[in-house]
Amino acid sequence: MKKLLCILFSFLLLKANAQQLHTTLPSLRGLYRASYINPAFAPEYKLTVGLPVLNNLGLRFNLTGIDLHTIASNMDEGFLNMNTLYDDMDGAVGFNIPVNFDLFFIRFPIKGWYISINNSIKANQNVFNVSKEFIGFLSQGNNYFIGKTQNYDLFNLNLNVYNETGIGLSKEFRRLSIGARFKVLAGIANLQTERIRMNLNTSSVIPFPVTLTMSGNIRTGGLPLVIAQDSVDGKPVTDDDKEFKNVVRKLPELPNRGYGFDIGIGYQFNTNFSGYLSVVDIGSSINWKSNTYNYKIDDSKVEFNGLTLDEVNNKDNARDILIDSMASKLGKAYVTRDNYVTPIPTKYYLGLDYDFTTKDRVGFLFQGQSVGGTFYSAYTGSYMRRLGRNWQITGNYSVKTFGGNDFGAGTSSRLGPVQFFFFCDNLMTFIKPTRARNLYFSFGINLVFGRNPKVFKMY
Amino acid sequence: MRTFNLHSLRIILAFSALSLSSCVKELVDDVNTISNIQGIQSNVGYTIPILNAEIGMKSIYESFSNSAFIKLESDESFTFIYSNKDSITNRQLMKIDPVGSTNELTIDAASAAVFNTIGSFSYAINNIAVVPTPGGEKLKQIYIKKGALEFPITCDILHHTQLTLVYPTITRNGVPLQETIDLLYEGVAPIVKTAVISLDDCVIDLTDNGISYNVLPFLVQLNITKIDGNPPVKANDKLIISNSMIIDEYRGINGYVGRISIVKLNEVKPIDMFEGQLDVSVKLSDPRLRINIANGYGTPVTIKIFNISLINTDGTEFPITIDLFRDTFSLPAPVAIGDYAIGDYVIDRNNSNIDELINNSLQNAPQAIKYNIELFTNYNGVEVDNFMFDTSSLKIDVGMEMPLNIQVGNFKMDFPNKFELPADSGESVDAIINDISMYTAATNNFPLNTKMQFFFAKSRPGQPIDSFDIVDSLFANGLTVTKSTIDASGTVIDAPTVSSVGTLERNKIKFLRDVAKTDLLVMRLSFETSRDAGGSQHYVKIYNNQTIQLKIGMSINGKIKPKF
Repeated sequence: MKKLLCILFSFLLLKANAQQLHTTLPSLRGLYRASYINPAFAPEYKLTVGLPVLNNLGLRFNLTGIDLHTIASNMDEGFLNMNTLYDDMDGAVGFNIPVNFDLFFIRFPIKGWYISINNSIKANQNVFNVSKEFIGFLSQGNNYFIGKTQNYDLFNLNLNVYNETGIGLSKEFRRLSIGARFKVLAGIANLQTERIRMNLNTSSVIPFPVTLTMSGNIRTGGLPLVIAQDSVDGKPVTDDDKEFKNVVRKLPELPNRGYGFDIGIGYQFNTNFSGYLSVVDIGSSINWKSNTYNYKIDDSKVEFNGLTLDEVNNKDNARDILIDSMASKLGKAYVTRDNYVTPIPTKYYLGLDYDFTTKDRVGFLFQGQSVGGTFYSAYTGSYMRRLGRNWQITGNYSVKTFGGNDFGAGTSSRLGPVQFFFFCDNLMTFIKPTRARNLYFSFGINLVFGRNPKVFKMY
Repeated sequence: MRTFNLHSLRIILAFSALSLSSCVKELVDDVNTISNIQGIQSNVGYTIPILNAEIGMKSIYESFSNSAFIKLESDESFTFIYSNKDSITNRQLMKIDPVGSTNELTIDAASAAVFNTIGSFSYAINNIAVVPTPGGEKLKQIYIKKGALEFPITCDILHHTQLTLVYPTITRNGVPLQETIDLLYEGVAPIVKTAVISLDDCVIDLTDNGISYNVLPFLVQLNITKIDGNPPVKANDKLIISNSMIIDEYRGINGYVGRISIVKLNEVKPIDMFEGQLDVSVKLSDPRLRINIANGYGTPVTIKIFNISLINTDGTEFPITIDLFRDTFSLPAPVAIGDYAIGDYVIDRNNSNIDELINNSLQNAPQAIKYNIELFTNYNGVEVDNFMFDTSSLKIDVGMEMPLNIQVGNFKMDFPNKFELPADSGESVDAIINDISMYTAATNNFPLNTKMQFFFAKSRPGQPIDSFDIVDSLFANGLTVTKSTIDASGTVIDAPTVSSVGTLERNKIKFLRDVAKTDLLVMRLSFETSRDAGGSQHYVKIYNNQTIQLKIGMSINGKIKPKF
């Protein structure tokens, strides 16, 4: 139990990337989930049904900053040495545990077109991290930073849960395949720290004056008001603001709505060589209107240069006045009702496949997405082999621009109408588990019926 | 081929097993290491600003006392003034004794016969009373606030008697005072009665229509009415009436009030600028004693100095000798009620030995000034009309003035403040203080060599904070900042700056905190006038723009070790 707690505690010190890339799934075209990468991917089966819960079991998490081995290597006679641990951190620490599963999926053909309908719960950006600088300040004090300005977000907390209902169309022409999906997004709950910023400067000149600037802004949507007050923006606070059950009761009205598109194409250059391009979540965003609260602390700056003689002696209450003045400058938290929009990152995929036999395929995939102003991308080289008509295996190696290069592997097979699959994007995790920062493995069961003759004609 | 593949497979499997066992070992080791965690530890250091003060001589002094008034001169230099202010108001300085007279009416035989025949009798007494003035006062008007006329009466006449008293020069709201007293015979003889007439808010004119003073005329009218059946009036029946005017409180008096002692001032004023400094040497250029009077009384006022002394650190009194005829100062009366006549008398090196006393005889810094003086009205006995009203006041300010044009040696000022060295550990978090460093930077704008030191001290139970026992110092030898260079007008041309750091190591912290139990941090500033090549000191003036810029930052380093 203690070991488990230690591991969990360590996870709390870790930070995750908000971006989620798929390196193995694009090679497993027999899975309907591959169509979420590119809606133009040709279905291998005429009818596919995704079973609730069973369609995507597994675990995904991303950690950054430190890992278990870093923690272990900084243990000193049973005590974690925060000074050396700070030096070994490579950025803010925290975690991201995205959740993504389909409540329902079905795909079927009509007059040469494939139509898919899905209803999914998505929570792809469940991020919590604490900045390295803040941890450094807490663990080392401001001596370590004398003469420097520490300017950082204290922590970052992001939770975005929504329901997606999508309807997709795809069609194959002779060499060309196209696909698109229209999605209605219904926001369930959102919490995001836009900024909890602290700027601390300790001068290196005697008497080492300290300047502290703070500002903060946390938005929530679809969640109850957590600060007890009588009114917000002049409007009285009611049970609809405070009671969670009242907030949930509004969800069927889809008060937090959004829309998005996926589009993709594929092209068969010749018998062996093909390529594809897709853009997912074009313009996807959720407009939060229900129970939206903006918790703010305005920019406030406090300087302390040391006491004057009058303040030392508290002449005419000078010291009390100073303390009151500093306290008043720090500002107070207040709440407003502000509707807001949360964009969902758009993903880009560009792939090339070469089938050097009817059973063997090598592929190259470039993918990228922009999160928080940073463009994350990965290059994946993959090999896929079909073992008979109902089994395929794949392996890949990915180079990621933000680190975490890794091997991936996966397989899917069909036994009658039941399709089994398993894939993992991070095989290195199993080799050096305590140094792992990313893990994504998935397994599940779908129901598939019939075959798409255009895909299987080659086998 | 098969053999090769099998061999290769074995190599791969062996390598994989080796790698896997290495990985498993790392996993087991890491998890074991982490699972044995007892807590976290961190070396922590906090640096905070403590003091950022620009300290002038005025703020230095006012930080520990407000006893002196610090006067900013026209050239922006300072003068310290230790003064006692007295305001003497609303006093009944003049004591007016009761004014009285006794009048006796004896019925002669003829008058008795007439009364017995016609049944009535009238008689008038017209007289004056004189206000007693033992000091030769010549009073003309008295504005009474509270007073009374008392009339004890004894009457042998066995009939109703009526007395009418008239005081034409006592008025209330302009109306002469008149009172009627009935003596009713009710079978008891003689008739005895005391009548009282209030004089509250009356005005008495004692000038007898402008020709005299201290004189109070009055008239007593006597009427007797016969009662049938009563015994007849006999010859030698008498009526005796006395009157006594008592003035408890007056609003004002016009006329010459004579010589009156207004107040005796026998006081000691501490000079706390050099308080408790046994080894300080101080020379002040042009020290002086100033007596300032604002006379609102309607009389000339004279100050008689009996004794003025300076008291040094040892408690020895050194009398200030004032030149002949300078020990008595007179001030004329103000022109009108509500006005003040102002007088300013200076005792300095030109008319006394005060300079010699302070700069040579005392041998150390003056600690107090002691004086014994008395103020009089009409001290010279010149009989002129005065006015003395209860709204009048007289203000006297006796002050020792010390311009900050000084020579000092070892002049120290202490600034004690509560200071608690942080404790080592709490219950749930082990916290160890390794060292505390105080970084000090000082820029000296004073034309005085300045030395700075910090002491860790222990306060004395039940005594003020400035009473303490020094345990240890922060710096080995203090921090010395040489004097600034100033021009003739006192403007600072060059101000030297020094900085230093004093560090308390762990053992010293433990000793100060746990053994010596210090609870005060005392900053001591020591000033000294620089010496020339010959070793002589010269006077330097301290100006308002001259300060010490003192900056102190504190750095605390330690280790925290919270346990899970």
